[in-house]
Amino acid sequence: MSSGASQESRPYLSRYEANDEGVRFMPGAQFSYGQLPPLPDGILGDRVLRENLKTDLLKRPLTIEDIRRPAFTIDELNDLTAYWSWDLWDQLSLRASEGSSGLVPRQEYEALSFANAFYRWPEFMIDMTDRLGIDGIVDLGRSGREPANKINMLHSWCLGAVTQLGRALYIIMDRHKPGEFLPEFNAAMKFWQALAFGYRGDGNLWSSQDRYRTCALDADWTQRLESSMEPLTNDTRPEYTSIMASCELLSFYLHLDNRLGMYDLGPFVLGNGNPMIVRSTFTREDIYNWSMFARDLPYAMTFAFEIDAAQMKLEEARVISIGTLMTRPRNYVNSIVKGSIWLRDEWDSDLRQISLEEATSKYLAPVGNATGDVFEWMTRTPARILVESGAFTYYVGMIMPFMRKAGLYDHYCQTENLWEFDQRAQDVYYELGRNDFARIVVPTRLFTSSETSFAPVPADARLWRSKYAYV
Amino acid sequence: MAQKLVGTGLNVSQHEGTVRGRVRYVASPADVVKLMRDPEIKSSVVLTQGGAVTFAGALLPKRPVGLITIEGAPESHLGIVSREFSIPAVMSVELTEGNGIERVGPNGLTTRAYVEHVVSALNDKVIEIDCEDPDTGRLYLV
Repeated sequence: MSSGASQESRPYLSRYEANDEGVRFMPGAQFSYGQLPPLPDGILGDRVLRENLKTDLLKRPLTIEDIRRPAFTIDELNDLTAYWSWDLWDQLSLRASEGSSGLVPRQEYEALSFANAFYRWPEFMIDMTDRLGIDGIVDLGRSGREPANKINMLHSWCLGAVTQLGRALYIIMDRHKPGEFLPEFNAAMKFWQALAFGYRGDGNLWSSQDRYRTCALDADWTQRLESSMEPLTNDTRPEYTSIMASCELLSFYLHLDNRLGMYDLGPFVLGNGNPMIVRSTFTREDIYNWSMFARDLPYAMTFAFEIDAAQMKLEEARVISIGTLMTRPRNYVNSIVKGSIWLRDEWDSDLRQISLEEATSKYLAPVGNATGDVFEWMTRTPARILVESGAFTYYVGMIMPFMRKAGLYDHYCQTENLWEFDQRAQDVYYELGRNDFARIVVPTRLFTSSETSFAPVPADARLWRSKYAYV
Repeated sequence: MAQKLVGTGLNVSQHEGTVRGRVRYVASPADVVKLMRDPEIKSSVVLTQGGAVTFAGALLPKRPVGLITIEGAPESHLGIVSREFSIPAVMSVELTEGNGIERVGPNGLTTRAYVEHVVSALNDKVIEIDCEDPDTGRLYLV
């Protein structure tokens, strides 16, 4: 098949041409940050932003020598912060309108976890870097290049994003100044950079830098998944999408309404020009006590599926850095033409393929029952406990996979009080709850952010000025 | 049967044709549990305020014919999961007759008056949902 004929029937393939500017998912919307020109969403926004940054840090693929440098300069930190600010807007501003949660106080727990992670993560990150070396952190990221692994783009992205969000939150609350806590800020950014570099393997840190592709699977996995997919008929497609949707829903419940329970990889362009997406859902996570409702379920189920791009006239397929597939047109579900299902019993056991029949007969009802049980547990749980539990799904849940793989999770639990809040973050909790502060500030000042909250580090700041020098 | 356009909103994903059902507003977890156990859920359109998934999401495996939210977007978690279940969904609904009621208050949050206005206009009515347009979902009073 010639690429020209392929692009005619599958316009999404044009997105991968060097000068293509992509589709606007938010037509007319623009993001403003400092002296940068107004930025649109998508491929064009990434290009204009990077062209206008001060340093070359994000203008070329990174090398291992970049990763081994011990710290970022102030200009580099500010370029990263500008990119993070746009990236959060690009990915989350539409979600920010979701408003009332009704059951789980998500904005409240998000804000609390941002506050806590900013104080507590750097100590773990510095300790892990001391123990493993920066090359060891890169290897840790690289170890996740398989399906159904919580060492993934989403979790490494979260370590950088939540550090930025915590810093922004304290600046908004007037508790920190932009030039403070710089060693911790720098160490967290370096830790995230090393993980993302190892995981992606292409020298980029965000999927938006590669036209919204995260194809972080070793080659043998890509081939195994592609050859594992079987055609879906009008009878079997609803069964396939039903078990997949049910696992997604349970993963949202087990992770208290956040996206840490599922992630997409791709688009992998197949030989026929169609994209393959690899979606992993985590249907049990034993570190959470409410996961007891899923005790009889596997740790994860993965769905590899092929979308008929010509049938749906696919214009663009984004797998954004938080591991979510977004397409235009939006409805790809009816155009899934092939699929396979894989299962991982425990976080460190091997993946094995199961049939659609086995997935449906053995797991569909238990997944639904577990979802109902977690929902009922939520309805009986006081809001304060849901806020704490949710904050732990972020603050512990985001960094835990890296600790667990490195054999340090139990050590940090036992000797470093991993499951504990910093007293200063705990104090912030009450302020966050007052006058709907968290519900207002999270969507309007953090997820649709600007230079006022994601403030640059002043040029005359001292990079060694730590939180212990905070006076 | 004569139909009247009563509202529009963000269409989560395109669906051919229309679906029709009686609107059931869920305001509390008890409402969700009650509707989950009601066999009529399969002929109901769920109306809920927010776009977070853990509240009304538990209803989706029961296959209501449609979903309407007062807040949120297709990228909200509830929007994502409703698409995966192939349930037509219209989010951030806006009524054709707004009656001058402010949707967003000075604090940036949806006003109680607006929520009550939408609930009063749609709850317990038979509504037809049209999700054929790529971006806009339409609600018709049957």
